[in-house]
Amino acid sequence: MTKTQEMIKQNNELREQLNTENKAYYEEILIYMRLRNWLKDEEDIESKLLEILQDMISAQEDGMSAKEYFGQEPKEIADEILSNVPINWLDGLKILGLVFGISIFFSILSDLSADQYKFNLLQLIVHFVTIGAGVIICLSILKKSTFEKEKSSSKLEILLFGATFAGTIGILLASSYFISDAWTIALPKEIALVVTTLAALGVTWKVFILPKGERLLWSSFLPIIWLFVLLAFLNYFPASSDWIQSSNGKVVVVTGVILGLIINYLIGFYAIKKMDVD
Amino acid sequence: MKKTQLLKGVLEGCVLLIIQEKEVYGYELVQQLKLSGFTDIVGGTVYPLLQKLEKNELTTSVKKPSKDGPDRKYYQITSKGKEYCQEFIQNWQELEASVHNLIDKGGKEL
Repeated sequence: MTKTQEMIKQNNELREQLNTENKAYYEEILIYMRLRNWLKDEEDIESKLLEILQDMISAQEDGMSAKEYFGQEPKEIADEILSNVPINWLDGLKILGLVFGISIFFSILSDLSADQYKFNLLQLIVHFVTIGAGVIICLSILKKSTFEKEKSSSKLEILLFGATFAGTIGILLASSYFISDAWTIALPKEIALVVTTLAALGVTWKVFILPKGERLLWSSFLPIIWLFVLLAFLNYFPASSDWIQSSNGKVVVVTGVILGLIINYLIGFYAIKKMDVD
Repeated sequence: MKKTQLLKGVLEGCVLLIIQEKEVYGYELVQQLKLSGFTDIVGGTVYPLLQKLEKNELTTSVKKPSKDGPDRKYYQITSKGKEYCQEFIQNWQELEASVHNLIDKGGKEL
């Protein structure tokens, strides 16, 4: 277990010592600061969160509420603490790497019928940016709603999530029609299969070693990733390849992909909502 | 005039003076401030301040075991911090004298 993971675990255990009201107050700060951490040093943020939690528990033991102890302006203070946390490019790169891996799978999907697997570099970049932007928008929607008093905003939140999701998928699917073939690199099928499988295994392994809270969110991509691997294999063998390219096969493939995306969306939404609990 | 604004620049020095006295963790520090008369201070104000002190190498922190739960972060003063304390005390005394002069003068004219 890394230092960061250990602190998250300790935080989960210690948090139970807070009473309901104090816990709710603290968890707002926790979610807000964790949502902001994609470029900021994660270990530094977790260390600060743990320190604040320990102090809040001490305050509670002395009969002070978390609000009385920490103050009336938790958002402003959280912002100030975050602004003092250094940027950790490695932490940022790790997340970008994961997004990149996912982008590759979307790129493979766009060219199933050819004899060779073609990687369109430009398209890969477009996918990468689109997925990255989608994730960032979702996180900022969530961040914005963290300190809101009115919880009724959650309907708007779901709507915004849906719109972001639809927009992301729309761009991903439409991009293949607009991007020139000049950027394409062809790979022999065998190499593509090995690369695809290794990448899928890599992403799966990476997802499973993530801290518990983040794991569920990223694992929502796994069904669709493995669906692509399956499609790549089906496409490799002549018999199944013929079936995939028949109209029946295409309907099944498209249905499967849509199902995968819906699962991805539902798990993702649920995971983000639950991030504070785990 | 808001007291917090006046306090902003001074608080850093006060926190450092407490840490110079003995190593403390966050909650202890807030309690010490309150005992010293800074009764309006909330914990939230202190954390960004502690970050800045550490960033400027005026303090360092060590994790020490606590009686209940995981290790606690204790703040200690550095030699640079001690120098800062000396400067702070001197600056404060000069400032206090100047402000005092003005207040006394104003008092007499009234």
